Amino acid sequence: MADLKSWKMDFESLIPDRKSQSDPPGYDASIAKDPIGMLSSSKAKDKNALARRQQALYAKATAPIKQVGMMCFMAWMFGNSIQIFSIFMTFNLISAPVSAIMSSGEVFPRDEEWKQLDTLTPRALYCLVNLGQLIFGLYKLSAMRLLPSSPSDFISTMPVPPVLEHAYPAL
Amino acid sequence: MHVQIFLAIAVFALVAAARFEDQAGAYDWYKQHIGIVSSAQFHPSKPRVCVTTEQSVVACLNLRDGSIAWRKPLQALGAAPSVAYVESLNSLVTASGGYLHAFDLEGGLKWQRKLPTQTAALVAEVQGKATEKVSGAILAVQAGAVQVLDAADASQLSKPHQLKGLAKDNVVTANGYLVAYNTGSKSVLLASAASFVAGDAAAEVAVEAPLGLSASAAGGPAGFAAISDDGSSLCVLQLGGTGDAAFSCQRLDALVPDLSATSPLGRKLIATSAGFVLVGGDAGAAVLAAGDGQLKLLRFFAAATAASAEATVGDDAAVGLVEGPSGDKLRLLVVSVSSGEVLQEEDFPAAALRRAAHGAPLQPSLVALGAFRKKDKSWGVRALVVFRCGLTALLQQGVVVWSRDESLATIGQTLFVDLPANGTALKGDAGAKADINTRIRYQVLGAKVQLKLNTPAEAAELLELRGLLSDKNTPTRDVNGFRKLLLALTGTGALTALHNGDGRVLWSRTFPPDAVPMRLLQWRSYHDITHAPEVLLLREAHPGAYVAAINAHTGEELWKQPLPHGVSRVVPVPAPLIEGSAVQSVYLLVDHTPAPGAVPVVTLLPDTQASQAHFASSQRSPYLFWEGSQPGTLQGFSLEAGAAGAGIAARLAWQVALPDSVLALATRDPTEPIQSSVKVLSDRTIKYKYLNPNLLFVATGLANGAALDGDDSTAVTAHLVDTVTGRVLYSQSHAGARGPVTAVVSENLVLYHFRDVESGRFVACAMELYDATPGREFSVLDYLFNPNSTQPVSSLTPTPIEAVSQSYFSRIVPTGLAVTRTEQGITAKQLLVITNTDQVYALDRRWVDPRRPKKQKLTQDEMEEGLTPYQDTLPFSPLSFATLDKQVLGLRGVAVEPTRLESTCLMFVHGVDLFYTRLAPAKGFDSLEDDFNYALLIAALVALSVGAVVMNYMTKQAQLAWKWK
Repeated sequence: MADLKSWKMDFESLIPDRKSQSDPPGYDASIAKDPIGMLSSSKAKDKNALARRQQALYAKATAPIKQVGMMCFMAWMFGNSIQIFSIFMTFNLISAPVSAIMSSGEVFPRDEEWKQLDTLTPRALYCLVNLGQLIFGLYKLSAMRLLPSSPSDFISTMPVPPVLEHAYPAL
Repeated sequence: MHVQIFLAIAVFALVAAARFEDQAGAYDWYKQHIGIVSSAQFHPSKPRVCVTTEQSVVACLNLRDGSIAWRKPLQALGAAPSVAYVESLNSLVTASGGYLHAFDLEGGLKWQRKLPTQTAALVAEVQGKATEKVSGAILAVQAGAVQVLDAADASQLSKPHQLKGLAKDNVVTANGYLVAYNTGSKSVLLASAASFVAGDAAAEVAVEAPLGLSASAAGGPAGFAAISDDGSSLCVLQLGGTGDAAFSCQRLDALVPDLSATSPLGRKLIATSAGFVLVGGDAGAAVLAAGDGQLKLLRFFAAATAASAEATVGDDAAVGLVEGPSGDKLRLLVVSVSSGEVLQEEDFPAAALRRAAHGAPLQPSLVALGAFRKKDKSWGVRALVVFRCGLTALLQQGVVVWSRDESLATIGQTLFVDLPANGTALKGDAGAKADINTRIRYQVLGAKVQLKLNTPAEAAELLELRGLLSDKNTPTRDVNGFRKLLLALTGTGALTALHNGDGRVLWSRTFPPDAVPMRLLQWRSYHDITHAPEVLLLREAHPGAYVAAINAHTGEELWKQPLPHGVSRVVPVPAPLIEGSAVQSVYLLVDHTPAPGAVPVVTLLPDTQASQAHFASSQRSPYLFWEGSQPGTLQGFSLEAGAAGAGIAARLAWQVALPDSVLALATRDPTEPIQSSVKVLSDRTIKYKYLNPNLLFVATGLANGAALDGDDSTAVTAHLVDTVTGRVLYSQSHAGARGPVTAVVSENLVLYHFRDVESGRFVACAMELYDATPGREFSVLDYLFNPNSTQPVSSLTPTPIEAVSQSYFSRIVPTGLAVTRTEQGITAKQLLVITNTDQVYALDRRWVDPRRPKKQKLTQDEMEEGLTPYQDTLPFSPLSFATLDKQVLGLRGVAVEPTRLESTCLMFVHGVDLFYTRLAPAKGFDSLEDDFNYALLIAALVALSVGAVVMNYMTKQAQLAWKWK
């Protein structure tokens, strides 16, 4: 709907999507943002940029903490009763960290250009944070008594033991 | 307080098993009966006939259509009451079950009076001479005690008399005298009724009869007459004359030569004002006149099969004789008692009666004659004829006005069996097929009613169509197992098959009186649909004991085998024998034991190699137990299977003598399905249910009806006995309690009712049994991966019992207990309490949970477990009656049958009335309702998809228009 403007045809409209308009030849977005970096020595640039990138990665890894805390708080607020909202909530509590951990490789891609950049530790940290949410989710499930954690959860269909003797009533 | 009220309302909303008004009759049916008529009296002014029945019911029937104008049950159901019609007061006085009742002919109880004992009593109007004016006085004779009462208000007209000599088998009133004698004896006691009325010391006269007298006797104005014990003679005692009363016996072959050749069985004497009528079973009837102490044959009717009491037709005193039915005719003769002349003669078609009797032989057993004035001022007669098969018919002016089949009022045993599968439908019972237009019309009307767009006429039409289209009456089995054939063995000796959809009779088979079966048992059922299930009929009494297999779908007798001995007990072996696709039931027959202490002789039925092998296949030898011949004892026998035909050796294994008299016995149905052997509490702890099938509940205490002397304390003690070893496993006592006790054992629950003497209320005590073996561990891995982890249990190494029990006051007075049963036993159970008002109350098991916490505020865990706060009285909701708003008069039994749907079971309640319904103890959680409106569902789906398509198109149009703007 965004581009539902009065339809007109001119040369400009030949460009199918303005957003994907390609940059002019020779334009480098990173240099445009950091003109000084271009001028500094390559070694210093490397060192600073590496540290900054590493810092950015750590920031990215710890970013979900707030979100996880919020989710856990909300889940706690909902209580342990089994109802539609708490079920959604708990499902989300468990599914979100699992999918986040599964896709953590995409969040922290190995940069071919920066070989010395440590992506493994922030990724582990990221997974740890999400694991925290997963654990809380499981705790929540257990509090809702949906986890088969006690022997009684396995016993309910235990058959009646056979009887060796039989006595027939003739009353 | 508000919370409590809210909780109570919420709880009742949950348990309400009520039906909406338009659902009445959708799953249930109810048939009112009165029983086999034992005496009849035509109403003097209204078109009614008032009857008393062998099932102890007093009723008046409408003469026009046979409908019940009113009916009242008497105290003791199961025996014909003695009845006297007091003409001057237009009231019926009955004596039954230790009570005298007087009813006016409109159904009002005028008075009730207790008799000294519960035994049979005779009630008769005092028939003095016309000059004596003792009108309205009645005599009540019971075990030698004579009371003279005013029939109007039950006031005593004179002091009660005690005459030991009157306590005899037969007491007959004859011409102002009471005649008492024992069957087969020669000595006869005479006492003048007038002297009782006068309050004089009654003059007893002992008269010696020349021959022993049989029970066939009659007394009337002509005196007293009885057939001699050997059936050869008729002895007459002229009464009221001067001089000594003396018997004169005349040989029947001289008096009525035609009658003497026939069997003396079934002979009946009827007194008339001029003499007697002797009915010789089916061999004819002789009208006899009395004179000078001798009887004279007026006329013999060779074809007569029954005779009525005397009635006045115009100016004549006459009796009605029924001839036939022979061919397609039933003839009614009105015969003058003084001359033997036939005053009137009418023929009635018998075909309609035969149809109404479902093919049973028509043998009239009772006739009542009534006279009425026709429009042309001449006198006409009507007759109420009761046949031995239970059919009651009114004959008038050449037509059978109406008939009622009352044999179903005497149902003793019932059995549910499967109907035939599709394509093998019962003959002559093809259900009406409705066309597609009717079905569409039904669905449309249903939708209209649901959306409240209907007119009242359409609502009525919907109900009518529902009945028409419902497949509940189809005579084939259905997927859910709702449709069943209900076999009923009646007291009239008929095996009748009813369709459980509407209670109509599909077939009926009547047995002659000397071969009436006593028991109806399951015999053989098949897993394939081509075979009809077979049921077993058994007659226990020797001689004439037999077993016979009946095809349950057609009523055809497959085989019949006489039994060499009488049978005292029939014991089903719970595990059936599987023979290919057939499931064969196995029974143990216990022969009549000659001496009380002798070892019983037990035979196997069927006595084949396979059944012997099946019987011997259980790991240890089976046991048999019963209540011993001495009161308060229980006996157990161990059984040893021998070779086929050699019988089974029984050996007394144990004997238990209980301190008091036994008030109730209950065992668990060994075939009851149990889903789980453990109970998991809310805190995840495990309780193992105690599910020993060899468990007998015995309640002992002061015998019912025994006097409670002074400050003597009374108690009801409940014992749990292991029936293999005779060991008393547990007992608990209730002080200040006494019987009657009703009990039921289901799963690990024992529920019993007793009466609390102090409060006069009934108490329900629930006892849940758990296995209390110390240190019992449960390993999940073992359970999951070790198939032998469930160890068999043995009564020889008994496990300790933990009994949790709790008592509640019950607002209903129970007379019996049953329990619902579903296919898998998963559905929560309901206890079916038979009440003293002849209703069935469905009580959820959770109300009698002994763990109901004694506090108002429940914790989360307790609520999760479904516990409700303890209250000292069980909740009573009028909506919980399984019999709805119906009363099943003379309720004798409740039969419960599971269906293939786990949620639902079928219940048939029988007494004098019949009631059938479907029960869903935990609501229909696994099925849509029968009247679910599929049309509305389809219409909604179609409307949604059409709406979606239309909206899609409209959106596109709107977008295009907007873009062109």
